[in-house]
Amino acid sequence: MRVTEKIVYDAMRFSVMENRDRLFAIQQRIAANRKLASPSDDPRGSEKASQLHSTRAELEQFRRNIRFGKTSLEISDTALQGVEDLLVRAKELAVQFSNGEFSDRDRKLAAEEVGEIRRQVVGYANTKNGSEYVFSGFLGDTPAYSAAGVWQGDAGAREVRIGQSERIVTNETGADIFGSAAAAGGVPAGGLMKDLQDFQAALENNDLDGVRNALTTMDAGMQAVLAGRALAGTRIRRMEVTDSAIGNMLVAIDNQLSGIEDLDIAEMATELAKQEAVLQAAVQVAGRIGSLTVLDAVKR
Amino acid sequence: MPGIYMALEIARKSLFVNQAAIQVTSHNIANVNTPGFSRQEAVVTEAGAVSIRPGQLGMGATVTGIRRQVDSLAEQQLVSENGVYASLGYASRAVGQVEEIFNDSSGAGLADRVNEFYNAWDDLAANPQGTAERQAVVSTAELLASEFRRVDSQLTTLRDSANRDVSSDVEEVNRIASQIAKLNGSIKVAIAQGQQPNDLLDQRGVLLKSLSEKIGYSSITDPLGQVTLFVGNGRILVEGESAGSLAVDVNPNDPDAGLVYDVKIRLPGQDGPVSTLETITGDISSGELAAVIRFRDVYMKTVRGRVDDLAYAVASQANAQHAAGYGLPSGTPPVAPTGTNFFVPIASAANAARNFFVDPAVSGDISRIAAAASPVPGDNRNSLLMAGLRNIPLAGLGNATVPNFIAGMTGQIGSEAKGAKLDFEHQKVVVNYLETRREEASGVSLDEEMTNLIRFQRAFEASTKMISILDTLLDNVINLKQ
Repeated sequence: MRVTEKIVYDAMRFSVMENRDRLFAIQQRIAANRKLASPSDDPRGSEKASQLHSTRAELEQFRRNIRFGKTSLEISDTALQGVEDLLVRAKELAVQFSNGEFSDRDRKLAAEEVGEIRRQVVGYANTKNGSEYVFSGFLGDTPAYSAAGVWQGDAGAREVRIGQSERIVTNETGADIFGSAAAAGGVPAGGLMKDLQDFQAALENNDLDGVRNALTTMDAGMQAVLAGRALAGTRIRRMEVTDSAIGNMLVAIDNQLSGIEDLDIAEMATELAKQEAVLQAAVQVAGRIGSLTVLDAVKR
Repeated sequence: MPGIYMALEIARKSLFVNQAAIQVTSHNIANVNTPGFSRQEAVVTEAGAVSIRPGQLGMGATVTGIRRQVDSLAEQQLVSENGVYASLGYASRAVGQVEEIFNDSSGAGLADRVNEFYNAWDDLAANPQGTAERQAVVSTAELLASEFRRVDSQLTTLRDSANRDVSSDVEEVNRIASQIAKLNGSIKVAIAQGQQPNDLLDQRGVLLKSLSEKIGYSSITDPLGQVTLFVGNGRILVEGESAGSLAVDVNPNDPDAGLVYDVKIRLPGQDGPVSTLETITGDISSGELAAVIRFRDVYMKTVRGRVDDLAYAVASQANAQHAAGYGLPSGTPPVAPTGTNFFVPIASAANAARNFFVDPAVSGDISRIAAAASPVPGDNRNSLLMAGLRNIPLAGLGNATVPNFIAGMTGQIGSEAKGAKLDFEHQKVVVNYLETRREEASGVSLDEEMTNLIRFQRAFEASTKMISILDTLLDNVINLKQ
């Protein structure tokens, strides 16, 4: 091969430039602390990473939805617990007064207490989460029950998404728990509110059968409230289970993403040292190529 | 008949031959760094002989020509591979720029905007009457819309700059073609006079190489050394001393009328307005011009098509679901605005990204956002369906979901950029190898020239010595009778 100076210098320049380019790419990655500067560095990895980021965004949203749903159901549950305590007292009164032998004054006081219990139950049934009545179904603007105890909500089930094809209901309607009988002459025709009203009237009128009947109706009301609390508890539990499953999925996704996107500093440092050594060698060789020439030999 | 005068004549020729050789050496050294220069060499032959008894007597040496050292195969390959190199270089830079538009490792980008949009509907489902949640749906949608339009306008900017590259490449081709035609003329004259126009040939070689970087051509050389150049499927660009030219003209059939240039050719000696010239846009085979045209007319259209498909799918899917729902009832009796589009409806996928806007009827009145599936304010069922749209595969996106299509698009553009980069790197090595082969044959080695110089210098010294000795001999002869 006929080697001219240009071949030697060009080869040297090529090798120094290439090595400098590689070194620069490594330095850039370390400075940016990213393995992928652009999709072309790892097209398949970028595609996968983009998918994972989207999945991650939706999973984070499911967690937000779960937080909202839990709060909503916990508010319902607290209200139902209040109702449960009130019904315990109402049942005590029913037991106490079902064997007669009480003065008019005692019965009147008891009747007033039952009336107060009824008002408080209506108050609990009209509990709000933010600006919305939680027991009103979709009609969150309207109180679930009028002051007279008449049902005003609807059966709307408020769902949130907690999985791509999984939803959970985040409300309980008053109708399911306290009854939804239509109004008859300004008062409800049935349901817990009506039962409390009847109980109060029985005490006022010294209607012993009515008071004894209240034993049954208060018990039934209690059962409905307990069933409602159990349902809320089940749903909260299901959301907690889903939430921790999502937590595990997020950890797995972050691991995958880290594998695709994050720089292995130790590996990069080794690469950097290696590339620096190669460049140094190239530069040293370049420094010596001018030193061997006939020109020196013929100098006189 | 041998004689001192004959010897003197041989010595004179010898001086001349070695002077010529030294001069060629000097020329080589002077051009050691001239691009495209081919090393020259004095061709020295014996100057014949006279027949006498008992045998032939040599008559010295003579320079019969100055030869260029050329490896014509390497030279030819270099010209064509260099054209490929220039076109791959352009493609790799251009595709890299497209990649930058889609590079969302910085946190911006279509994927994030789309996810935020769908998430806003989930938040709205949790509180369907909330003003803040409704406002968030509109503002994430506005961000998504402006991201679509940003991508579209950046693609348009790239297309326009490719278009400018077409016209600047055409100007460069014309400049080179006219210089080649001029050199053809000078070369013809020199060869007709029996000369070897080495330096003119080198200059034309450099021009041919730059021409191949701009446009692919084929050529034939006639006996007078003139090259005829053909471009765009056999159309003559240069013939002898007359050069044709290329021209740009607006393509009347392109959907973006008035914005895309066609390349036309004016054959040597052809007259008439540009509109009457023949179009060769699709016939340009290699060189930068071919790469620019391919990038502008094929690659950009593909990329833009993907973005438009996506924009069209997102908008029509959201509109269909939104129109099925109910906004907040208002007025007495309550009126539920149904059938409302969420985005301004887009007729077809063509230019969909450019026309991606949130419907002003919705952004101007957030109560029209259809969160409900019934005319009841607290109904959130339609917003749940809107939030779930991201998981529905769409026929218009090749049965991919919106986020997966975006991921696929990013990966595809990445692999196209990677491919273009690798092709370019590979071609760099090929050209580098051919440059070395050319240099091996035609390059100047200073070591070689110095060694030769010593040889010629010694020969020159010997010739002068010869003359001085012959002078002494003649002196002896003249003084013989004294």
